[in-house]
Amino acid sequence: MSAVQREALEADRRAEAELLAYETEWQAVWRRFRRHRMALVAAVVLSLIALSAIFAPLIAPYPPDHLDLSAILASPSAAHPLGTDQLGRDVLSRLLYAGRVSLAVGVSAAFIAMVLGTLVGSISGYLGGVTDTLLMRFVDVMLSVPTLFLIIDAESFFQVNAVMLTALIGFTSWMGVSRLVRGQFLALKSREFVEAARAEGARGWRIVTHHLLPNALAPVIVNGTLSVGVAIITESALSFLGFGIQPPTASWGNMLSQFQNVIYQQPTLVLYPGIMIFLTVLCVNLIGDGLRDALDPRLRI
Amino acid sequence: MQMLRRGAVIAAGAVLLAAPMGGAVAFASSSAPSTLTIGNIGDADTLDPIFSTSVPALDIEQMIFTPLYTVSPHGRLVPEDATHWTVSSNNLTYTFYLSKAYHWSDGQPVTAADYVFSMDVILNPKANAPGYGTYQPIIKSVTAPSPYVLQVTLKSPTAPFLAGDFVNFYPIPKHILDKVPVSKLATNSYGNDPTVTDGPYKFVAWKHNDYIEVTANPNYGGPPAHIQNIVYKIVPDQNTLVAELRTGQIQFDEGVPPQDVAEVKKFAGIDLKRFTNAEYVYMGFNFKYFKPFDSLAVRQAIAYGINRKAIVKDVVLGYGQLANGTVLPSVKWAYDPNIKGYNYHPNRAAKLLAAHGWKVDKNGILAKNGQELAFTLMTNAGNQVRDEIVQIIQQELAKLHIKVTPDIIDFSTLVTNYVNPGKFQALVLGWQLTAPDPDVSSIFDVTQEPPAGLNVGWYNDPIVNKEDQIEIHNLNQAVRAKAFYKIQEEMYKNPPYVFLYYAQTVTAFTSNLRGYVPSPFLDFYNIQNWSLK
Amino acid sequence: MRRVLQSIPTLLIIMIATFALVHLAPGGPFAYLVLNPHINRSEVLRLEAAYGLNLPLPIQFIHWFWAMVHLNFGISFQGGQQVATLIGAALPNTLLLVGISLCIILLISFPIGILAAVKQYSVADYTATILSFGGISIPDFWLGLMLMIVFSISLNWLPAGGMLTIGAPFSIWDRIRYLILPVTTYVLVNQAYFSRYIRSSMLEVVRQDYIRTARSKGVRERVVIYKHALRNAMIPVATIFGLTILPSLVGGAVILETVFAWPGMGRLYYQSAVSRDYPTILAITLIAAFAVILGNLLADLSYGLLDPRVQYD
Repeated sequence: MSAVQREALEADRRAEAELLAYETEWQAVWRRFRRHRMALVAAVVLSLIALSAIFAPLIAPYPPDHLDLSAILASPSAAHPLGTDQLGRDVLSRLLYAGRVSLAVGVSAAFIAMVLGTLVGSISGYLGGVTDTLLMRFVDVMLSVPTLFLIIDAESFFQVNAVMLTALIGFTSWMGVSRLVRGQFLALKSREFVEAARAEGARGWRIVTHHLLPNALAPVIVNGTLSVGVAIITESALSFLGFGIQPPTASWGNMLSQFQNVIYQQPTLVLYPGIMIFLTVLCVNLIGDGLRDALDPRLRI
Repeated sequence: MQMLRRGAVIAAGAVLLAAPMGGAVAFASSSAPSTLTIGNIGDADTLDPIFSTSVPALDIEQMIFTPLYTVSPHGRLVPEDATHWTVSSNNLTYTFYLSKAYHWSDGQPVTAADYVFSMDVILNPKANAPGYGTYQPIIKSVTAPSPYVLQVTLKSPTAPFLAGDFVNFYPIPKHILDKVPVSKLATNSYGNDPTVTDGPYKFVAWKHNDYIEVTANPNYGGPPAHIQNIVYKIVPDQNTLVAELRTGQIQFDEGVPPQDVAEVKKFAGIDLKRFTNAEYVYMGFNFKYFKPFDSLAVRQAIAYGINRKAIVKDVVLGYGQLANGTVLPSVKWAYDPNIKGYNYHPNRAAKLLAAHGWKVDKNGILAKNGQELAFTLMTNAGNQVRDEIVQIIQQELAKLHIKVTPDIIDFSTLVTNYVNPGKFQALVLGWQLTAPDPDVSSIFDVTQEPPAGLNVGWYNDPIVNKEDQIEIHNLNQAVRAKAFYKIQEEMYKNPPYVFLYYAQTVTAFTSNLRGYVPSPFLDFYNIQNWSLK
Repeated sequence: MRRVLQSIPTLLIIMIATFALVHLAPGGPFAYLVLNPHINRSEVLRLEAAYGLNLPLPIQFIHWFWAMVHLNFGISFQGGQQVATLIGAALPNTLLLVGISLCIILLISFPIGILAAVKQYSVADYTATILSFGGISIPDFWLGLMLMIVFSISLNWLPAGGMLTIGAPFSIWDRIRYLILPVTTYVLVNQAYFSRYIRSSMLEVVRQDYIRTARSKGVRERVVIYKHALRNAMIPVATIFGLTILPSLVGGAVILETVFAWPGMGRLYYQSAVSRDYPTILAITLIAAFAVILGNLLADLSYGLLDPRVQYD
């Protein structure tokens, strides 16, 4: 018996033992998630970032758009722990408030993408046939139309603010999720347990919600966490191109591109929003990674 | 994109949208450098001067074409292909006497027929030349009584013609292009590789979005250029432009942003020059779409409430000069040095508003007869200076209980949907003047209201309207000066704008460069006289 | 075959959608002209008429569609250049930058992904995870600028922007020097998408029954991993590659191309968008759509090659 084989058997045995202990599904997920130490650390860090953003009005030493033209680009001091920006605003305060915007953009856009993607993917995967073909070609269309123009177009109807931008990012990034869900559905549809449910008389909607979706959800959740990071990065890229969230509202993205303009004058400034974006997106990705491992039902080590 | 052809233009100034800044430099070589590489953030549209509209195109055209006459950094007209000119007694016909020295780079002489051909193309509606709208209303005919005499006849006496619209008029070669159907000229390959030109330099290559290369023209009619090759490199990011100055990839940058000046000063072998540009930045009122601006007190209070000195000091780091009107201080004959401006005086602003019955309502905003002093202030996205000005104005006026909502949007959208139709409440933009004539009637005259005209704020002042007619139609400079003084005074008393500041530009270039004189009107004035040590 | 035929209506819909999106955008290609006080609004209307922009949109669409069928991309509104010329100049540059970057990404992400999967939760896995996610978590314009400040401004080792030393004779070393910073940025930022995908695919496959069977039959680990597992893990990997590689190759990287003054497709697209240069935007979108469809098609077809059990009907 090779080492590998022994390990496999060991794993099986332990898995059985766990089942016997009537461990609930979510407890198991949590236990496996904890194994991914970096994910655990990331969850703690991200919680801290989120808390600081949520409680920004309590923590921030100044209102975010309080100008002080007598102290522009000031170096860090007791009054301004991270210094001030080009208009003499407290960088720490803005950073905290920007966190609310950036996190909200990231989470909401990812949520929109997940819901839309799951919906389209489920319908496409479950119904198959013409519906599937039509929806998947629609995905091709969505992948091909120039999304920058959606934002420009939106400008003629609304003032493009954080909410609009979030919706736009969400509505243009669900295509990956939909393909993923569809793929899962196609694979699961012919599995024994679905066949069995059908044989027992379960019908369409019930099969989708009770049998297919729960089993397809793992990659969706993982993908969802990753999309949070992608949305935050997308917002910063749009800011760089001049199409992001516009001042005076602060986001990490627009602070980053704003501070790049003074990089030679006050080189440390650009690090703050950069590090916040980096840390947040890194944590989100690590959590996604931990979830991926934890939700993988075959993974019982 | 920014239009910089003739007269005044809105300076888009956005890092990615327009191209008002650039630079140049020589290759670091051990012997005498023979190439100057200029860095600029935007690419040319076409190199055919009849059809081009972009700043980079204008830059290259200064090198590869010779105009009838040009304009000096002080705003004087300087003969080039035309040795001298006369104006008929009825002020309608301008006669230009051409030098016989200038030749096209294929050896053919440059004659009056080339100018007639060029103007005929512009005036032919089928050509779709952007200059059609400039010249069609004022030019009656252009003729060549003899090969080296050019006559331009106007429809009515137009004072701003010579020092305004017609400055730096470049001809295109008739013998090369007259066989091309006029409707096909705009897309003819001449715009892509203008091999036959008459400037101190001639065209070598154009790699789109990468660089444009020119080399000294041995057949040039004027004194030959000293610098052998010029490369015009397109570097779309401002930080990269500075980095390339450091690495020596570029040796001339036409516009170092104020916040980068200190860094560039540290670079070995790079010198800087600072000068006041022909551009002013303003906050414009719209009299039609925000009725409270009809009240002089409201406009004055806003002007008193904005700390212009702080804007100059903090936003452009001192690289600006307070502006009190539309005439550039460098145009000495027309500029009124005693013109007053509105300086920061928040107490006076508050008193003024209170005296005129504006009271703080339940929303914390000043109101009168149910109308709140709350308006949207627009500017174009991607221009940090304007972003910051808008935010400062918002904060300053908030102290007076005036609510300003910033709306910072894409340049093309701003212009088409809001500026052109005159449908906005207030905006922050800039005007850039490319010719020394101070005529700005097209921006403030009542006849120029949208949709046809550029008086997008719907300003209507009887004194300004009256003086406009005098300065346009009278060629006597003393009479015009009087009119401009009156216009400046009236625009102080009844302000169409809060004039903020004249922009100053800093150029950076290799210390080897000799003969460079910055000019607010032409980026590469007299480039044939530049040399590299 | 049916799958190929489906591409035709898809492409048509993309054309209609793009055309509508682009033409409905506020602003117009001649917006800038009106800013000249000496050009009045009628001039813009005249120019718009000259370029057929005053016709009803469906008619304009038909004109454009007919031109596209004949592969006539038209003429740019910005200076009257042939759109084909502009794209012809930009496409090779993007192919070079993105092509080299993708090759490097593929070269490094397979070993990283496989290693991370086979040795899950090892130091190697953690290192790979941190590196991959580190790259993915940095906005590329920031990373690009940081690298430029270090290697161009402070150390002055590498050129900041551009593709080659203008005027210098061609040399491979010169080209490489200009490629180092943009390629490094591109690779760091994008490799995670690939290596993480490979890792998770491998993880899934490694635990499946037939792999266990292969192992229990005493097949050597190396063979298990590279012959059986990798082959099957490639199916989802092929999907994601199909979705990303071709479109990135033709679409370019607008931000990196801007930061590093690289005259590629991304910048051309962005400039056309801000100046509303309809013919250029439409042409680029259409080429990108072609790439998306082709990529998906190739991915679908590759399933059949990688796993004979999958048959495409």
